[in-house]
Amino acid sequence: MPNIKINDPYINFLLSATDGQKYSLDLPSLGKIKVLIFSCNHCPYAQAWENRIINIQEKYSKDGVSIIMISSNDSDAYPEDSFEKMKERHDEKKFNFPYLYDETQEIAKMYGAERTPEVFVFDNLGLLRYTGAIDDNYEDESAVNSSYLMDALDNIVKGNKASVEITDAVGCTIKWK
Amino acid sequence: MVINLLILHNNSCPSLEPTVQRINEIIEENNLKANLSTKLLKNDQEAKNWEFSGSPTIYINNIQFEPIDSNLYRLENCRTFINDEGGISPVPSKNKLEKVLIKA
Repeated sequence: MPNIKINDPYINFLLSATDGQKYSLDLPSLGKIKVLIFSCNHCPYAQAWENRIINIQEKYSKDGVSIIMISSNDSDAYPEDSFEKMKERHDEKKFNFPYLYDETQEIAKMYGAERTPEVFVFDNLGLLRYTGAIDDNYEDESAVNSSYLMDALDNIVKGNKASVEITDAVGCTIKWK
Repeated sequence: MVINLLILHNNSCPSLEPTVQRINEIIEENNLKANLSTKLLKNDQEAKNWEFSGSPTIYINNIQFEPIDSNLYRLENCRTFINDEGGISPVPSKNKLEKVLIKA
């Protein structure tokens, strides 16, 4: 279960990203609405949703939405999730959002993230408005019945609360050291 | 002839249930006779002994379905499969499984 609850403010951090920059959540270049997604390279669930994450960033960037993807996996046990491999993945997929490396795993622990992918959406006041899954079908985008993240964003960009605030994240467990 | 199916899994990936469901659908739709069992692996040594590529690793008549060319046997791993469209999926393609099971 996440350590932060709906209406809680975001927990800030400073992490290195695959684009060579360092990111914190109060960086002025980020949109006012922030979508943190704990993810990784190797997990097939994370991979299955990657293109959808790119499309969501594309769709909502005009609304001031910034996706920030974070990998917290133990790269000693999972070399596919090393920072170098993350950079390769970023280039290969042409991520249109920063991909951050939580090497110490402190950020995942602070948020209480357990799965990849697992989403945390903060509104323009920095308060948690949605946490959980991206949608309800990892395998087939055309068969999605509930687009949890996009439905939440549709409400949040209008200043409303998400109609569904919490869902279960579906994916691999974060690989702890 | 009865097909022996064994699904190895861990507690880290949510892929077991949809895989079992998919296999049961194939068995039912094709009137196949099969013994389906599952085994929860508990440590890296078991993963190595079973050549566990990740959850789910499926053995059909003692032959691994779509084996991965790797000697990394990690208990916590989730298996990656290629779906019918060439994309990544954490569960095996029903079409590919069906073809193998019908021939088994």
